[in-house]
Amino acid sequence: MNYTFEMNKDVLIARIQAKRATVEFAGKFKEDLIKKIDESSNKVVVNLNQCEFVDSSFLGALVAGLKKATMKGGDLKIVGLQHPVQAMFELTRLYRIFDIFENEKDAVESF
Amino acid sequence: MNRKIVLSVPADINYLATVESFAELLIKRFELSEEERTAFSRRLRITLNEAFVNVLKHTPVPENALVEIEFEIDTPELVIRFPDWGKGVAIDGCYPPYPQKLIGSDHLFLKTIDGEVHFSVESDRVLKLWFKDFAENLNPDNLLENVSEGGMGLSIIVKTMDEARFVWDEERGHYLEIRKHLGNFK
Repeated sequence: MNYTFEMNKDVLIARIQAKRATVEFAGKFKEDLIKKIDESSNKVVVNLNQCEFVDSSFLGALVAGLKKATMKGGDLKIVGLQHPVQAMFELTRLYRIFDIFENEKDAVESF
Repeated sequence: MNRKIVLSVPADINYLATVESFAELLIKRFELSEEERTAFSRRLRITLNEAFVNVLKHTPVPENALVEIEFEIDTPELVIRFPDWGKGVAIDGCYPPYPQKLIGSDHLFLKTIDGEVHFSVESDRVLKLWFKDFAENLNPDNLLENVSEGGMGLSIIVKTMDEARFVWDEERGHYLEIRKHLGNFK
């Protein structure tokens, strides 16, 4: 499995368990993430600490999740960017719309 | 010295990691410092990913087709060509070869959170892509409204590489041509 979902109190945690987060599972992840936000919580944390590489399709899935969460009055926060992944957030300037944290605890407590 | 390498892979998303990994092999062909090697390898990898996905997603791929990616190493320049099965970009309903009246014109291709990808019609067969950067003037109040889930791939290629063009010719058909000058990629 490339990702898992878990609840921590009222926060939905998505953990990406793949070194490459790319188009190969971005579509399914987006679909599942949107469904989970609808069913579980509009407070979302996506943990990318195992990812070494992300592409635009996966970043698009995160944007879709952020839009869904904010539409429902919540937020989607990002955790654990390795340097190459951080570089992608900077290149696309998506860091301007996501709150980014070093660890899950800080991200969860920020809600 | 001019050297050419052709990577032929099935037009199938399951070969995406193979295409990406070619960045590591290719980078060994250049004399670079460790720091330069790491930076260029990352840029090349994401470019190969986005360009390959672009071919598969946006052009009509025939069954059992192969994508023949061409790498031309003409130090200090690297040229990469990604052929596809499209007719090229339609401008005012025209596909290449474009009429004379369009040459020199500029067109908006797509918008991203921080700018716009444009193309200029360089000749009747060549569109040069470029990025109009709005980063300095972004309004933080409506960033999320303006961000789109799609369209980032091409903007990543244009930002990461030095030159990107859509080219059409009778022999090869349509392809994306990307150039990187290795002297200034930092």
